[in-house]
Amino acid sequence: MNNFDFHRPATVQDACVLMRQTSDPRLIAGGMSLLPAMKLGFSAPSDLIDLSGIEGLSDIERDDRALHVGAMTTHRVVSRSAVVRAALPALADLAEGIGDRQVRARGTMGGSLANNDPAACYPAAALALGASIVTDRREIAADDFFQGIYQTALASDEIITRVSFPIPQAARYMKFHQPASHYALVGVFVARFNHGVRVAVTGGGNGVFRCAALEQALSSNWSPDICQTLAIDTAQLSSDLHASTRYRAHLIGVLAARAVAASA
Amino acid sequence: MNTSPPEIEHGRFGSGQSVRRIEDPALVTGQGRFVDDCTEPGCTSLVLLRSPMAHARIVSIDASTARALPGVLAIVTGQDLIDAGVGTFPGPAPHFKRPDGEPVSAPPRRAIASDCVRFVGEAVAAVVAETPEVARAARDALLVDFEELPAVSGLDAALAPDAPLVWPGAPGNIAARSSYGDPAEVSRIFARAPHTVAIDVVNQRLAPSPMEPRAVLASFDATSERLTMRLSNQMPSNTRNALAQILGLPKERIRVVVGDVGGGFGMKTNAYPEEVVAAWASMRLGRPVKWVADRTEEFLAAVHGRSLRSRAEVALDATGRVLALRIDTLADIGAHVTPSSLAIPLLIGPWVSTSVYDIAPVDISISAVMTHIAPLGAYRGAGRPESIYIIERLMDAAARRLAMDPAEIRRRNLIAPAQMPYRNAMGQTYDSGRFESLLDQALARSDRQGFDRRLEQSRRAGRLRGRGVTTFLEWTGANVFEERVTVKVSADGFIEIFTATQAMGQGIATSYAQLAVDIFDVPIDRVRIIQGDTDRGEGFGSGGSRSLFTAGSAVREASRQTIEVARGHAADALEVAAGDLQYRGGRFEVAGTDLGMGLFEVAARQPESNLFLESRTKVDGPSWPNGCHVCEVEIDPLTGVVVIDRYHSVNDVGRVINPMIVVGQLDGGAVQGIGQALCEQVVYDGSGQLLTASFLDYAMPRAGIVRRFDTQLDQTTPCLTNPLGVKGVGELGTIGATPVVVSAVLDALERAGLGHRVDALQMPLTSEKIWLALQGELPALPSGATR
Repeated sequence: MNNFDFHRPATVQDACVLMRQTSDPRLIAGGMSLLPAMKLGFSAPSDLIDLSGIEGLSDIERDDRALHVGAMTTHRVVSRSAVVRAALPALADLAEGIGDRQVRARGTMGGSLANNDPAACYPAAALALGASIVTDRREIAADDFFQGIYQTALASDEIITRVSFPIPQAARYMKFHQPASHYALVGVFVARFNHGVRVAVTGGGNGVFRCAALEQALSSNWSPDICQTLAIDTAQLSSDLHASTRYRAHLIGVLAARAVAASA
Repeated sequence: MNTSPPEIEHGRFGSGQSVRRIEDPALVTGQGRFVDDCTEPGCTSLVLLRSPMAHARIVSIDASTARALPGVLAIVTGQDLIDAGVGTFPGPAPHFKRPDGEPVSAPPRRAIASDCVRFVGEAVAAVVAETPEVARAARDALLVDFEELPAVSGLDAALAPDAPLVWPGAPGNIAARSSYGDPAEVSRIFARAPHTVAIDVVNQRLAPSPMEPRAVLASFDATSERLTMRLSNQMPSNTRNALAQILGLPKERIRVVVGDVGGGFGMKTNAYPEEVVAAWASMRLGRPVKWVADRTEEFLAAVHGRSLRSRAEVALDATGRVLALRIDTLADIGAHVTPSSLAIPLLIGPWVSTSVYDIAPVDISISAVMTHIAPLGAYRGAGRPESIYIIERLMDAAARRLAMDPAEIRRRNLIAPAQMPYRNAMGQTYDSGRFESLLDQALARSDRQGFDRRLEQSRRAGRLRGRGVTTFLEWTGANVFEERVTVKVSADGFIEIFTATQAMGQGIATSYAQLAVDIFDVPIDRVRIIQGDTDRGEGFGSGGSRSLFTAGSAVREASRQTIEVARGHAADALEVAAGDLQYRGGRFEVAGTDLGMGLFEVAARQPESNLFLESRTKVDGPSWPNGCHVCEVEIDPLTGVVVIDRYHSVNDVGRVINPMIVVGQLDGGAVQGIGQALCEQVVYDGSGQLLTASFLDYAMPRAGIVRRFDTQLDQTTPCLTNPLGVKGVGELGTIGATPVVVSAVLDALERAGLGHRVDALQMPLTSEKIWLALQGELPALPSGATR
């Protein structure tokens, strides 16, 4: 790992200023993706700006239409939060299935969304639930936020502070592990609202995406059986050592069916 | 205060007891000393630049920028090592022959390639710097001009008529071929046999992946002109000798020291290029040099295991008796021909080709094929897992062909106890084994009667179920049967025992200590086991599951001899006849009197306040541990995911010194075997690029892969060739697990309606492969050879 300067600002504003004033800065939340990348030499920032010293970024609140989770909330806290479990049990279960115990204790929701790993779990939840990603300066709709592998709508000095998840009538996430990394080979998040169903797929290829065929079918008939009769479009799916596009497409149908069956 | 526990306590620490590992308190409290935990004043860092190409000529290396970086101490190229007289790695044994009968010819393997690289990851240059960061920066600043050459990756590419040659000394890319048996007789039997079964069997390439990567700390002392090499290594003497040969040093001038080793699995049995470079750089710079592999370097440049493709055939009579066996194997040995890359596939593996079965006529041939990928070496089992997997796949395929129970076809072919000692078709002699008894026990433990009920439960839950059975044995011992140990009884109350075998996490020190407690009858905390120092003694080291039955026998014998020497001294001191002295609880006593002397008191009376004894013990031959494993799996037909539901094994490892350690070895070994069956594989693309260069892509089995192992030990058949009656156990679990899990998966798929087409499936049985099979998409079976 190369040398870097370490900062721990006390406010979001200070963090933004540091982001502008340093030559090649990176924000660090839990560091569960950034630190391995730095150790491997894939990332060599001049400055690390640690967000853990900023108060108020780990609150969890619920109002009558949405669940609001602070960006620095760890996966462990999300998985164990009574508020999350009551409002959006699918999100608590998703958090409980991320990585391992050590990763869940450090990794954060905001970090995962900002990183937008193509096989991460949280992007599927944010996209399927139509979440708002709240930053230091604006709110970004999930539909606009995710822009391909490791790409998001965030400006270079923009900081996620909170994520607001509309509370669905029913939702569930199902993940199929890539056998080596245990990231999602495919993960499917289904969410039913009174205005329709949203389905997001992660791990399939070039970043999280919505599956229109499943959304239309499930909007008219919220049943597991409908999922496996659909032909999933393979255009957005990748093929690699661990799965062909065809297998991934098949798994999307199976996981969607199981998610619907288990949804609450 | 009397710190000596009451006498009855000693028995709890002798052999046969599940004594807690004496190694563990240090390891679990972070007090272990691995190479990377060690440093020395002035220590420098070594980093290698590795080839990004599978086959290329090194045109030039521009080191000017790298050399100018502050903190860079040396840039080392292959030519530098040649100019300094550094030699090549030891080649294969000369008895291996090419197909044309000529002696095998190996490309010169140098620590750093000088003119041509032959696999991705081969070292091209090295940097020594004050810190690892500077060394890496300098490595990244090296400019190498490569002229890319055509590469061959995969057996088919290597054997194509117009394939580029990896080495001119291996025409057709075949470095060596070995053949055994009687092909003419086997052909006659096949021609008239009622049934023949032919299958293709792939033992895919695996990365051994010990938790601790390789590491070296080389330290040259100018005053004594001696080089101390701290290594993570299983065979310190062997590695020291190889380094001495390559560096052109008398071996007395190298001391190899090994501390804790975080797993070896055979991968750490040989000298490696990085060690040569570190040693040479330390001598050149007069400073300590340290290198620690990162995980990707382990995937790229440590040896891999397995890597065979075989056409395997049996001829059978109408009752399922095997009449003859024919195996034609291609081993993908990679880009270098090493002693183990030929010995494992061409010699050791074939020794157990017929396993526990009474099969006389065989026709076995193995070709070592060179390709532009990393070299092959030892990995847990080293040859035996491959051969056992092949014969077990044949047994299952034959059972399907003849519509027989897989357990029954095995039973009909098992060697009977009355046939012991049994000389197999490869000329190997099994001393003992009651294979049918193990089969019966394993079938009983696994609740064979309940299978139909469980099958029905699985069906109702929408899942497939299958069961597999494997009967097998293996050879252990590396055919090096003599071990030297030293015993020092000191006046301060400790017994120190040195052996040149090597702990690598397997709990061997505890087992030795228990054997010493048996003889010395003292608390186990009075015994210290010392290993890993070539200045203290030489030996073959640990490999081939040999440590306990060779060195353990030697520990017991040396302990006995020590007692006898001490008895003589005690008798002199007490002025009694040695024969009148009884030894118990660490004391010599004259029966019925209060006359006596403690063992440590005897030591205190010696000139240097200790009793020192050196002893060599030789056992009579290898051991043949064996077992029967039974496994049941469930498969989710919608995803192809396999869940191992039940796993039972009954194992004959002879007498057991520490049941807890033995069961741990069997279960841990089995997890590695399951890894081969279901998930692990080293994958290169067609250009020789490694696609599985990290744990993000190389799928290791995880702890939860088996819910519970039911692991039984049958101690009724002691080994007859060593005084302890023990048989090696380090590799046994791995060897049984791979075939039994595959057997169970194929059984489930056969029941799902795929019939004998399942015999075309190859490992790893990934979920996608299984799902595709359930869609009817399977590889083709060999045509025409089955009837």
